[in-house]
Amino acid sequence: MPAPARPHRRGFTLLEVMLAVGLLGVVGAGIVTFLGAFASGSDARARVSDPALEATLAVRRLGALAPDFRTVLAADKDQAVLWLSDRVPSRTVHLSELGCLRVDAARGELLLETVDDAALTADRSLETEFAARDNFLAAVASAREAGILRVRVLAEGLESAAFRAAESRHAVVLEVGAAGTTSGVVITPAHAEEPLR
Amino acid sequence: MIQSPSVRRAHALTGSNLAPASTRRPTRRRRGVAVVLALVAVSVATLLGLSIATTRDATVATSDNLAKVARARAAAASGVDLATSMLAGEGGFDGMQGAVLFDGMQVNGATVRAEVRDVETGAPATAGSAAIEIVVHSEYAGSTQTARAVGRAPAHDAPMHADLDCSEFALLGTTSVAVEGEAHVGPWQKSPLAVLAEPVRYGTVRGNGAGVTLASGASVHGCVEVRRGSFASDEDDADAALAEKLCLVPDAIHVPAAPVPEIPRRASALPSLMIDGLVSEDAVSSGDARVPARGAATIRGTVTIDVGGNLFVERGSRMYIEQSAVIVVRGNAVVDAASIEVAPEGSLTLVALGDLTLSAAFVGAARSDPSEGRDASGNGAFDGGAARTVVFGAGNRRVLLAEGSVVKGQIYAPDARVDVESRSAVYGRVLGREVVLREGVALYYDPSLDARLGWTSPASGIWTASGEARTEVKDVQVLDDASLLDFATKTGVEPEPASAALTAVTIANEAIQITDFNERAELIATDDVKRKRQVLRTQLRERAEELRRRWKEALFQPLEAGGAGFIQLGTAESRVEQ
Repeated sequence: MPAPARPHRRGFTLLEVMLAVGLLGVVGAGIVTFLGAFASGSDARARVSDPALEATLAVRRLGALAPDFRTVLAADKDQAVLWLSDRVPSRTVHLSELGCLRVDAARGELLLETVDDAALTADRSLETEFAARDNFLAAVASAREAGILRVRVLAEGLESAAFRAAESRHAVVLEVGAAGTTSGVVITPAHAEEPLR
Repeated sequence: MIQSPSVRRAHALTGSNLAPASTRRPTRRRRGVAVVLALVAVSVATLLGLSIATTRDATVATSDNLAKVARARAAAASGVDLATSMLAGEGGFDGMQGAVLFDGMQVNGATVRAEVRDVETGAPATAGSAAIEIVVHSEYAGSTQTARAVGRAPAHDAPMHADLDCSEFALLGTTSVAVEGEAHVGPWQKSPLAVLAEPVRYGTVRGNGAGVTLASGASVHGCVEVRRGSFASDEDDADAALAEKLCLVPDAIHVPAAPVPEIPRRASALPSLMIDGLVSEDAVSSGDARVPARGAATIRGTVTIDVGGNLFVERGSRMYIEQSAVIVVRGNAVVDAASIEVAPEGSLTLVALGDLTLSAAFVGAARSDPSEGRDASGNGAFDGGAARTVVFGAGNRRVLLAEGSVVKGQIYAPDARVDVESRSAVYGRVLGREVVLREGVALYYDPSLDARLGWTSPASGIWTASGEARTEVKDVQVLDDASLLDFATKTGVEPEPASAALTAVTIANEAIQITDFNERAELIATDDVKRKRQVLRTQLRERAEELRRRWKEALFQPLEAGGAGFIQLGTAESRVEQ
């Protein structure tokens, strides 16, 4: 008596195996990416889903801190010096009216530096009037070195940030990179004004 | 049974032979696994596709939102321009409903609403507001934006007013002014009108630069010096003068002498006065008066204290002015490590004919922050500002602020020397014969004192149509009621302050630091300062009308009236008679 026929056990076809492996790969990659966002532990990465949004928020924060911002006095790749207000009523630029937008690349932050009021009150001779042609980058650097600047964080979690010239000399473009993409916003005053001298 | 080529290929790959149909069912079940896997793949692909589409959709929505915001913002800015032009016209405030200038206006598809409020009080602006804030809300497709603008209110009736007490100058000397090293002159940043960013004026009445001394270390950023010269004819001229740090005035500034109020008729003179506890009636002394050390005197009601001798406010004592107080000291006044504080609805007029010495003292609006102390840093709270406290140096002696004294008020002593020294500060303004701000002191000008009706305003009643100062202005020799009413009657121009005796009250301001308009409005609703101000103005107008009537009567009946028809107040003769 012949042995009963062993049930036929077919394997998968190559196509099925490839398909399955491919699908598993796609699903696995998705899961790994999904978990990776959490596993990275980066608050900033979670928050900054869109660099345009973060840059816009930074500009909004600047607007709240300096609603009377008048013009961009000087800029390089890493910083832009702004004439924030005419709080010393003269329509000329004073040290206490300067603000410096600076990129802290190491920490991925965009900072706004202004002169500390307490320092000016303690020593009024620090107040300085500038001419429009003065070197504002150097002036801010001196103030930073003297330790009289107050720093506020406007944006964080940035992979990259840099300034570049805008079409208007009253404005500057901030290019921000986060979450792998880059976006630019124009920082421009609502009512631009040149210093009187 | 015919097998398809694919089945054959599959069998070949797995190395099996053809099997009966009955044995192929398990294989079909395995193929079901492949179908499931394929479905999973399709699902994953669908999810990925949806995810991408959602992200794209969010990006588009973000961009759309940004575009809406930009459109709403542009509409709000246009609304500010529109409101400005509407207010610039005659009767621009007439059509306002409360604070609302217009509502529901369509600007480029956005709905725009404009409110106009008094910067000092937050209440709806009126034609009498010194400065206004225009707030425009625009709404476009769910995006809301707000634009604000602050500025001086258009003064259509400026030619009918003349500010004769020179309150638009922070530091004015009839002979000289000196700002020594490390002394500071600038705007009082806590004043609500500091947002106007107007330059602070200093100089001498001659306006020729002589008598003005600024040490090299003096801090006068944001200040302009008074100089003789024509008013700017256009914006470029104004900018040129500002760039030169000059404030041009076409004529020499006339400064009336400080007033000397008459002795109250209601009270009989006592040999001396001890001021302590509650004072609610007029008091007169022929000799000295004093507030004892660590004493506490509360002045309630409208009270005049006339001290024939000297006044001593001794160490650690406190005078609290609840309503309106006029303190006249015909000798010397000394406030030594003590304070004279004015309640939020009160006012103080302190007149000293002799020397006035403040040492480690505080005189001015009651401090809302008890820990403020004597703050010479410029951070002193506004607390109603400098308008409610006026210190007149009515003689030709000396006004001295020393040892970290702080005055939140106006010092008006055109014939006296004024020294501010040893880290003292004035929040308000200083006018004197020779004014010296010594090393380390500060003067913070309160912009709310400047009603834009004085010597620096071409449109004010001080100037004629041809740009010359009225001769009647220079006839005002004393800043008292009689002289002011005389001026009003002759010119038809309402003088500011309306009344020297009521100076502090009539130009009262309020301590409003709240940015929320509803809160501001609520605060105003519970405050009667405005009402009081209106009543006093009405009283003055009635008095002026009465005097005008008498003057006209005098013109028609010169022999019977025998004079200009004015009541002379505060003369030496009248004091003797009392």
